[in-house]
Amino acid sequence: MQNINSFNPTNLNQLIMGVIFYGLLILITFFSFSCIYVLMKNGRSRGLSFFASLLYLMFFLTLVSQGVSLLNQIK
Amino acid sequence: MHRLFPGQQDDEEIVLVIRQHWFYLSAKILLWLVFVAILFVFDYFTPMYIPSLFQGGALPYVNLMKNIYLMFLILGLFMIWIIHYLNVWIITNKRVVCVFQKGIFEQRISELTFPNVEDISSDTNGIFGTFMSYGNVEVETAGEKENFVFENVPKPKDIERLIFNLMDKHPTRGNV
Repeated sequence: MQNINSFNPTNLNQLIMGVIFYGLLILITFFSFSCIYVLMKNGRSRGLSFFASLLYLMFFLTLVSQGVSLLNQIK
Repeated sequence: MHRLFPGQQDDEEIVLVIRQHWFYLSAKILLWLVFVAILFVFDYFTPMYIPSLFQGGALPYVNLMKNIYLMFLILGLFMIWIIHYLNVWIITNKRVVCVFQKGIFEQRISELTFPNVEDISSDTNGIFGTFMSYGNVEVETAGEKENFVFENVPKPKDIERLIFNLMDKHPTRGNV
Protein backbone atom coordinates (compact mmCIF):
# COMPACT_ATOMS: atom_id res chain seq x y z
CA MET A 1 0.00 0.00 0.00
CA GLN A 2 1.27 3.46 -0.86
CA ASN A 3 1.90 5.86 2.01
CA ILE A 4 0.17 9.23 2.10
CA ASN A 5 2.59 12.08 1.57
CA SER A 6 2.58 13.74 5.00
CA PHE A 7 4.61 16.56 6.50
CA ASN A 8 6.68 15.71 9.59
CA PRO A 9 9.13 18.52 10.38
CA THR A 10 12.53 17.34 11.57
CA ASN A 11 14.27 20.71 11.92
CA LEU A 12 13.47 24.36 12.67
CA ASN A 13 13.74 25.52 9.01
CA GLN A 14 11.21 22.92 7.96
CA LEU A 15 8.90 23.94 10.80
CA ILE A 16 9.02 27.65 9.89
CA MET A 17 8.42 26.93 6.20
CA GLY A 18 5.64 24.51 7.15
CA VAL A 19 3.86 27.18 9.22
CA ILE A 20 4.13 29.67 6.31
CA PHE A 21 2.99 27.06 3.77
CA TYR A 22 0.00 25.84 5.77
CA GLY A 23 -0.93 29.41 6.72
CA LEU A 24 -1.12 30.38 3.06
CA LEU A 25 -2.87 27.11 2.28
CA ILE A 26 -5.67 27.99 4.73
CA LEU A 27 -6.13 31.33 2.96
CA ILE A 28 -6.15 29.81 -0.53
CA THR A 29 -8.45 26.97 0.56
CA PHE A 30 -10.91 29.47 2.05
CA PHE A 31 -11.05 31.44 -1.22
CA SER A 32 -11.17 28.27 -3.33
CA PHE A 33 -14.15 26.83 -1.49
CA SER A 34 -15.85 30.22 -1.44
CA CYS A 35 -15.47 30.33 -5.23
CA ILE A 36 -16.86 26.82 -5.60
CA TYR A 37 -19.78 27.64 -3.29
CA VAL A 38 -20.65 30.82 -5.20
CA LEU A 39 -20.32 29.01 -8.53
CA MET A 40 -22.54 26.12 -7.49
CA LYS A 41 -25.09 28.49 -5.93
CA ASN A 42 -25.31 31.11 -8.69
CA GLY A 43 -24.11 29.26 -11.80
CA ARG A 44 -26.82 28.65 -14.38
CA SER A 45 -25.47 25.24 -15.40
CA ARG A 46 -24.89 22.83 -12.52
CA GLY A 47 -22.95 20.45 -14.78
CA LEU A 48 -20.53 23.08 -16.02
CA SER A 49 -20.06 24.49 -12.50
CA PHE A 50 -19.36 21.02 -11.17
CA PHE A 51 -16.92 20.20 -13.98
CA ALA A 52 -15.02 23.50 -13.59
CA SER A 53 -14.82 23.05 -9.82
CA LEU A 54 -13.58 19.49 -10.22
CA LEU A 55 -10.92 20.57 -12.72
CA TYR A 56 -9.78 23.36 -10.40
CA LEU A 57 -9.65 21.02 -7.39
CA MET A 58 -7.55 18.55 -9.38
CA PHE A 59 -4.91 21.19 -10.13
CA PHE A 60 -5.11 22.62 -6.62
CA LEU A 61 -4.71 19.27 -4.84
CA THR A 62 -1.83 18.30 -7.15
CA LEU A 63 -0.04 21.51 -6.18
CA VAL A 64 -0.74 20.93 -2.47
CA SER A 65 0.68 17.43 -2.72
CA GLN A 66 3.75 18.73 -4.54
CA GLY A 67 4.13 21.46 -1.92
CA VAL A 68 4.14 18.93 0.91
CA SER A 69 6.80 16.83 -0.81
CA LEU A 70 8.90 20.00 -1.34
CA LEU A 71 8.52 20.83 2.35
CA ASN A 72 9.94 17.41 3.22
CA GLN A 73 12.99 18.09 1.01
CA ILE A 74 14.00 21.13 3.10
CA LYS A 75 17.03 20.40 5.24
CA MET B 1 -39.32 24.12 -11.09
CA HIS B 2 -35.63 24.78 -11.64
CA ARG B 3 -35.12 28.52 -11.86
CA LEU B 4 -32.41 29.69 -14.19
CA PHE B 5 -31.86 32.98 -12.38
CA PRO B 6 -32.87 34.35 -8.98
CA GLY B 7 -36.40 35.74 -8.95
CA GLN B 8 -37.55 34.00 -12.12
CA GLN B 9 -41.35 33.82 -12.32
CA ASP B 10 -43.25 30.65 -13.19
CA ASP B 11 -44.56 31.89 -16.54
CA GLU B 12 -41.41 33.76 -17.49
CA GLU B 13 -39.58 32.58 -20.58
CA ILE B 14 -35.89 33.28 -21.07
CA VAL B 15 -35.25 34.67 -24.54
CA LEU B 16 -31.54 35.42 -24.39
CA VAL B 17 -28.65 35.17 -21.94
CA ILE B 18 -25.77 37.49 -22.69
CA ARG B 19 -22.27 37.67 -21.29
CA GLN B 20 -19.45 40.03 -22.11
CA HIS B 21 -17.73 39.37 -25.43
CA TRP B 22 -15.07 36.65 -25.30
CA PHE B 23 -12.49 39.27 -26.29
CA TYR B 24 -12.79 40.78 -22.80
CA LEU B 25 -12.24 37.43 -21.15
CA SER B 26 -9.21 36.91 -23.43
CA ALA B 27 -7.77 40.27 -22.36
CA LYS B 28 -8.01 39.23 -18.71
CA ILE B 29 -6.45 35.85 -19.48
CA LEU B 30 -3.68 37.62 -21.36
CA LEU B 31 -2.94 39.66 -18.26
CA TRP B 32 -2.95 36.44 -16.25
CA LEU B 33 -0.46 34.96 -18.73
CA VAL B 34 1.91 37.85 -17.97
CA PHE B 35 2.04 36.58 -14.39
CA VAL B 36 2.65 33.05 -15.69
CA ALA B 37 5.48 34.41 -17.85
CA ILE B 38 7.14 35.83 -14.72
CA LEU B 39 7.67 32.24 -13.60
CA PHE B 40 9.40 31.34 -16.88
CA VAL B 41 11.49 34.52 -16.83
CA PHE B 42 12.53 33.71 -13.27
CA ASP B 43 13.52 30.15 -14.26
CA TYR B 44 15.45 31.40 -17.28
CA PHE B 45 17.37 34.34 -15.81
CA THR B 46 17.86 33.52 -12.14
CA PRO B 47 20.31 30.60 -12.70
CA MET B 48 22.45 33.01 -14.76
CA TYR B 49 22.50 35.89 -12.27
CA ILE B 50 21.89 34.21 -8.91
CA PRO B 51 23.16 30.62 -9.43
CA SER B 52 23.33 29.96 -5.69
CA LEU B 53 19.52 29.89 -5.58
CA PHE B 54 19.49 26.74 -7.68
CA GLN B 55 22.23 24.88 -5.86
CA GLY B 56 22.18 22.71 -2.77
CA GLY B 57 19.86 23.51 0.12
CA ALA B 58 18.27 26.62 -1.39
CA LEU B 59 16.53 24.75 -4.21
CA PRO B 60 13.60 23.29 -2.16
CA TYR B 61 12.86 26.78 -0.80
CA VAL B 62 12.77 28.25 -4.31
CA ASN B 63 10.59 25.42 -5.57
CA LEU B 64 8.23 25.80 -2.63
CA MET B 65 7.85 29.53 -3.32
CA LYS B 66 7.14 28.75 -6.98
CA ASN B 67 4.60 26.16 -5.89
CA ILE B 68 2.76 28.68 -3.68
CA TYR B 69 2.89 31.28 -6.48
CA LEU B 70 1.36 28.72 -8.85
CA MET B 71 -1.47 28.03 -6.40
CA PHE B 72 -2.35 31.74 -6.38
CA LEU B 73 -2.15 31.79 -10.20
CA ILE B 74 -4.54 28.87 -10.59
CA LEU B 75 -6.92 30.45 -8.08
CA GLY B 76 -6.69 33.74 -10.01
CA LEU B 77 -7.62 32.04 -13.28
CA PHE B 78 -10.53 30.27 -11.60
CA MET B 79 -11.80 33.57 -10.19
CA ILE B 80 -11.48 35.34 -13.57
CA TRP B 81 -13.59 32.65 -15.19
CA ILE B 82 -16.19 32.59 -12.38
CA ILE B 83 -16.67 36.36 -12.52
CA HIS B 84 -17.02 36.21 -16.32
CA TYR B 85 -19.44 33.30 -16.11
CA LEU B 86 -21.63 34.78 -13.39
CA ASN B 87 -21.91 38.24 -14.93
CA VAL B 88 -24.96 37.97 -17.16
CA TRP B 89 -27.73 39.96 -18.68
CA ILE B 90 -30.91 37.98 -19.14
CA ILE B 91 -33.67 39.03 -21.49
CA THR B 92 -37.01 37.38 -20.83
CA ASN B 93 -40.42 37.88 -22.39
CA LYS B 94 -41.28 40.22 -19.48
CA ARG B 95 -38.19 42.12 -18.49
CA VAL B 96 -34.44 42.57 -18.61
CA VAL B 97 -32.40 41.27 -15.66
CA CYS B 98 -28.81 42.21 -14.92
CA VAL B 99 -26.81 39.91 -12.65
CA PHE B 100 -23.67 41.81 -11.76
CA GLN B 101 -20.98 39.80 -9.98
CA LYS B 102 -18.40 42.35 -8.88
CA GLY B 103 -16.24 39.97 -6.91
CA ILE B 104 -16.69 36.58 -5.34
CA PHE B 105 -18.61 37.98 -2.38
CA GLU B 106 -20.54 40.75 -4.10
CA GLN B 107 -23.51 40.23 -6.38
CA ARG B 108 -26.11 42.76 -7.48
CA ILE B 109 -29.27 41.86 -9.35
CA SER B 110 -31.32 44.59 -10.98
CA GLU B 111 -34.27 44.29 -13.30
CA LEU B 112 -36.29 46.42 -15.62
CA THR B 113 -39.76 45.54 -16.83
CA PHE B 114 -40.69 46.47 -20.40
CA PRO B 115 -43.32 49.08 -19.47
CA ASN B 116 -40.53 51.06 -17.80
CA VAL B 117 -38.30 51.11 -20.88
CA GLU B 118 -38.22 54.51 -22.55
CA ASP B 119 -35.68 54.02 -25.33
CA ILE B 120 -32.86 51.73 -26.42
CA SER B 121 -29.62 52.62 -28.14
CA SER B 122 -26.52 50.67 -29.09
CA ASP B 123 -23.01 51.70 -30.00
CA THR B 124 -19.85 50.07 -31.26
CA ASN B 125 -16.54 51.75 -30.59
CA GLY B 126 -12.94 51.27 -31.69
CA ILE B 127 -11.12 48.94 -34.05
CA PHE B 128 -11.69 45.78 -32.02
CA GLY B 129 -15.34 46.62 -31.43
CA THR B 130 -15.93 47.17 -35.14
CA PHE B 131 -14.14 44.05 -36.39
CA MET B 132 -15.31 41.73 -33.64
CA SER B 133 -18.78 43.29 -33.49
CA TYR B 134 -19.18 44.03 -29.83
CA GLY B 135 -20.36 47.16 -28.10
CA ASN B 136 -22.76 48.62 -25.58
CA VAL B 137 -26.52 48.60 -25.45
CA GLU B 138 -28.15 51.25 -23.32
CA VAL B 139 -31.71 50.81 -22.15
CA GLU B 140 -33.12 54.13 -21.00
CA THR B 141 -35.65 53.98 -18.23
CA ALA B 142 -38.68 56.07 -17.49
CA GLY B 143 -38.39 58.28 -14.45
CA GLU B 144 -35.31 58.63 -12.29
CA LYS B 145 -34.29 55.00 -12.42
CA GLU B 146 -30.74 54.25 -13.42
CA ASN B 147 -30.25 53.34 -17.09
CA PHE B 148 -29.42 49.75 -17.96
CA VAL B 149 -26.17 49.33 -19.83
CA PHE B 150 -25.07 46.05 -21.38
CA GLU B 151 -21.33 46.63 -21.59
CA ASN B 152 -19.15 45.06 -24.29
CA VAL B 153 -21.71 42.52 -25.41
CA PRO B 154 -21.54 40.72 -28.75
CA LYS B 155 -23.80 41.93 -31.57
CA PRO B 156 -25.30 44.99 -29.82
CA LYS B 157 -27.54 45.85 -32.81
CA ASP B 158 -29.23 42.43 -32.66
CA ILE B 159 -29.82 42.80 -28.92
CA GLU B 160 -31.32 46.25 -29.45
CA ARG B 161 -33.66 44.89 -32.12
CA LEU B 162 -34.63 41.92 -29.94
CA ILE B 163 -35.60 44.15 -27.01
CA PHE B 164 -37.63 46.38 -29.34
CA ASN B 165 -39.47 43.34 -30.68
CA LEU B 166 -40.17 41.99 -27.21
CA MET B 167 -41.42 45.40 -26.10
CA ASP B 168 -43.85 45.48 -29.03
CA LYS B 169 -45.17 42.04 -28.10
CA HIS B 170 -45.58 42.98 -24.44
CA PRO B 171 -49.30 43.47 -23.58
CA THR B 172 -48.81 46.86 -21.90
CA ARG B 173 -46.57 48.22 -24.68
CA GLY B 174 -47.75 46.62 -27.89
CA ASN B 175 -50.27 48.21 -30.26
CA VAL B 176 -49.75 51.67 -28.80
